[in-house]
Amino acid sequence: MKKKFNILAINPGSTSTKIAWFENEKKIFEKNIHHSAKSLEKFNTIWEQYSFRKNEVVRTLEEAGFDLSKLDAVVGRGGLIRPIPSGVYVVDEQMIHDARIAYQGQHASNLGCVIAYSIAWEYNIPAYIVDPPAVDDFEPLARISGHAKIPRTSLFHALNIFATARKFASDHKKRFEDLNLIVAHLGGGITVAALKNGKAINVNNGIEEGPFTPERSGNLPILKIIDLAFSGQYTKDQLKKMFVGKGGLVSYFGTNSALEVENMVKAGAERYKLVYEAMAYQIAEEIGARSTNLKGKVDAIIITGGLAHSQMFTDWIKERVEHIAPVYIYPGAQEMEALAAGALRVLRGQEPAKRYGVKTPKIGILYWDNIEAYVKAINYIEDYFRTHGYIFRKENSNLEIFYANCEADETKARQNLENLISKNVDLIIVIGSTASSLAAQYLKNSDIPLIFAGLYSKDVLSGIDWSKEPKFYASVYGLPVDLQFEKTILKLDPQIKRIGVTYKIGELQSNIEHDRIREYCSQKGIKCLSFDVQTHDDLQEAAKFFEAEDVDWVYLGSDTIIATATTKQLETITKHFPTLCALQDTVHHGGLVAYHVSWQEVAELAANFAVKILNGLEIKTHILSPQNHYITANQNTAKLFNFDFSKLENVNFVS
Amino acid sequence: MDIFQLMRQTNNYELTFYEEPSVSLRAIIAINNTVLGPVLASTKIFNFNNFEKAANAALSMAYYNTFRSALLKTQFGGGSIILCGDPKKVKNEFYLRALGIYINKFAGKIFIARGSDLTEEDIHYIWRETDYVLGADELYLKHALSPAQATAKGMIYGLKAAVKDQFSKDDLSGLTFVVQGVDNIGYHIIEELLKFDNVNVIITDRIYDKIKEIQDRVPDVKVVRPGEIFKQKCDIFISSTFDNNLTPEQAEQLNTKILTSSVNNLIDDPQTQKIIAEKNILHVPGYVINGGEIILFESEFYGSEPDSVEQKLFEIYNITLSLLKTAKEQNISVNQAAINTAKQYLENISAIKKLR
Repeated sequence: MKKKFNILAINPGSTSTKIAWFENEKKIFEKNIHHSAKSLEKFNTIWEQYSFRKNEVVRTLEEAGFDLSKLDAVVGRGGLIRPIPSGVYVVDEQMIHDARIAYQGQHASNLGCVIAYSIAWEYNIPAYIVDPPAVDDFEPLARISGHAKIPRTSLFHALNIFATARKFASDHKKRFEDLNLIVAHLGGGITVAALKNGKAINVNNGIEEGPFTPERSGNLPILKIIDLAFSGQYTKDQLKKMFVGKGGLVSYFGTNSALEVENMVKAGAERYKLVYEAMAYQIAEEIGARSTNLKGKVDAIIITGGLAHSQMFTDWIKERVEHIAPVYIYPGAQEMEALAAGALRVLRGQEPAKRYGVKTPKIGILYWDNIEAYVKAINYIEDYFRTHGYIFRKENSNLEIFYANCEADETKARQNLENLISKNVDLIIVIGSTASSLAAQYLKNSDIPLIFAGLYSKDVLSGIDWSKEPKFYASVYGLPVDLQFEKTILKLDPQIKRIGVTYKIGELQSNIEHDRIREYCSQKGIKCLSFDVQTHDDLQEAAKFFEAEDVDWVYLGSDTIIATATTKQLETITKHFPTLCALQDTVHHGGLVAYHVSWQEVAELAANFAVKILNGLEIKTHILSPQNHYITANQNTAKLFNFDFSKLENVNFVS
Repeated sequence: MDIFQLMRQTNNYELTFYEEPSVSLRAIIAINNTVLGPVLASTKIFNFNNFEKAANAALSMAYYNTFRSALLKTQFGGGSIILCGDPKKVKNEFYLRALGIYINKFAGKIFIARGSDLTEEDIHYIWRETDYVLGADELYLKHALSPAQATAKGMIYGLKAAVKDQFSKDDLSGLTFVVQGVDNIGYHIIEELLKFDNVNVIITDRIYDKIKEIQDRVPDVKVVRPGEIFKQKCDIFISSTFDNNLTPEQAEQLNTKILTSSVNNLIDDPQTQKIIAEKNILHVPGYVINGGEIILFESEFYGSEPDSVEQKLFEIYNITLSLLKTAKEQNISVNQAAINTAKQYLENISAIKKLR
């Protein structure tokens, strides 16, 4: 069954805070909490409104009967923080700091991230923002303003513009990233964006550029502004307010209500019609400009926002721009849905959450040696990242991976770890038990999360108390010895009396495995005859020893000698004795049978830990083993021995 | 739990339960010792899961409050008031006035005072029903100190003594501090710490609003999640939370030289004590250094000038230094040295009083 995620979306506006509770995509509660002018006037800055607005949000939800502890994530509308590419971002301290200092200006949306963070903090769940107004995907040409001291900056209705563009793409069964679109958001502010392959390569700055709006002036003749500024009649703040807040329709008619103005137009007021149509005229002009940014290759023009409800207004725009591309109207704003959808994409692992202030997350992959199983694990981990939206080793990478081969050498392993630390990696995935044991000891007091991929068992990390290592995670492959025997040998050969066991002294996981087998065999009355293999050449000696001891079976362990042995090297044992193998790969190399987990699933569990850490998601269980167990047998080897494999459940034969 | 056995263990002679359902008031008052004078009860409002735990907390607080008073040689006895419930929800005028009526029943044997869980407004409501209240507005005007500020200031003096002992330094500059819990006292501790040059402060709290309040004022403090706080490398770890004692698992994670708390006693089980000792961490129990508020209330009750309050707060430095010395000389814990010293003082006063 599809997991149900509870998401709280918070969208602070100038005089209200809109909240909505979603169960997956379904909005089950929405409220626009209005804040009276009187309740807000006591605050000097928007940031000071934090406690007031947060308490209102929490009170409203509690009164509506919602239990906040049921939430999986909180998502807020991001504010005028530093310019960032579009996407979903984990709220962090740096973002809070930038919202606090109003990095790109005061705006109610600056509270979105901090209110979300605050609620999420108390329930230990992630907080996100989605496509904040500060999204900046500008192409280099778009940054040039015309004066060296004044660069252009991107500030627009990114949330609704991206959400509407995504909806358009979905409605037309196209990939959003494959389209060239012009999207105009028409509200109290008006911004018109050129979207090329999912990026807003140019857009008018919603505060200081573009068409005039119900309350903002947009582009103005510059020299006349300088005259006004030095006329001595206005302070800096008064001038700012004159153009942002009291500009546009407000400056002509004293109202920011487009509806009121439209009603006057309908009543025949000529001056109202002239100014109102001029607003549409300027918007069309802006759309025309955006079409040049896309070199005329425009798939569609989309008009959205509150003003898009007016057919009169959109018709005025349409008649001037439909020669460029078909025009589609999506009235209103879907901001709450867009916020929840963004959070949901991350929670479902469909899109990686980005890290604010961190250009690209970095991870390290440390492995003991070029062993086939480890290389496979790296491939599985990489595939997992790819299917979760990560791109690496490419120009548009959103993840940097550092690979560190220890070359089966402890000194080299330590050097690698030092090197990864110096690269400021966000986490390290350590493959295999030997490297894991070293890394655990070496980074015990470090803050870097360590993910042990393919650990034989948690006991391999001797001296580590897992309850005290909140940054350690492990995917475990070793299955209990009793299960391995009962699912294989004891069904094929219930009369077994003597078993040979290979192991490697000096490898902790091998020794643990060996001890467990001895203990189990002693309980079952099976005589256990062990042989230490330090090199591949020892395998021949081992075979002679087992021959002399007249063993019925041989257990081929998970030590590095067996793991790296070729089919040929293993033949001295596998062709003469029925073998139970700790590793699936050993069966591929001629071993008879293995009861095992999937190495791919082990690697994917580790990658899942990593993706969760990068996305700021809570991890409840730090040690996991794949749920599925398999029996694999070698068809060719099976022919050498006279066992009835039909006694085993669901055997997967390989040759 | 045998409540009488627990009372004997903590030397408490009176434990009172009071309930007024009409205002959802549930109070537990423990009286430990009145040899030095009337009880100045620390008051805590806390959402306890069960009354056994609440009674236990009341007895423990009262027990250490007696020692705290004795170490500072104040004229207050030791006791405590535990109010059960969510501080955000239970308090209102009627609740607080009902509490005042209850305090009145003790006829001056116990005084309730403004503190981290009772605001100035709360105290005014209690005052309408009883005179046995400390924490008048005038007090703060006169000394320019709130009880939490006085406690924080006193703790800083105590920490200076610990730093002198451990690092041979005369001030706290250049050191790294962890403050776990930034409610009221924690907030003022941070305020005091930041008066020193180049201090690094790492904070956490279960409630983000409190963290934000500090960050808005001091953006440089480092914030970590509550679960990560014990692992932070620091010189001094200050716990300023009331809800839990240090567990052995948390003690294992500590990476500090000095450990203290704004609560009376952070460590109540032998295993944790053992771990702290093995890790060579100097544990200065909270009650040794957190008596700033009593000094302030004593000045209100018995009358004294701001200079004298400041002087008595500074005395915490000397008391702590002396206890650290005793502990070293006698090869005992600071806690044991403090208990021995306090008990001796109480016995001496008790003996004198018999002369009357």
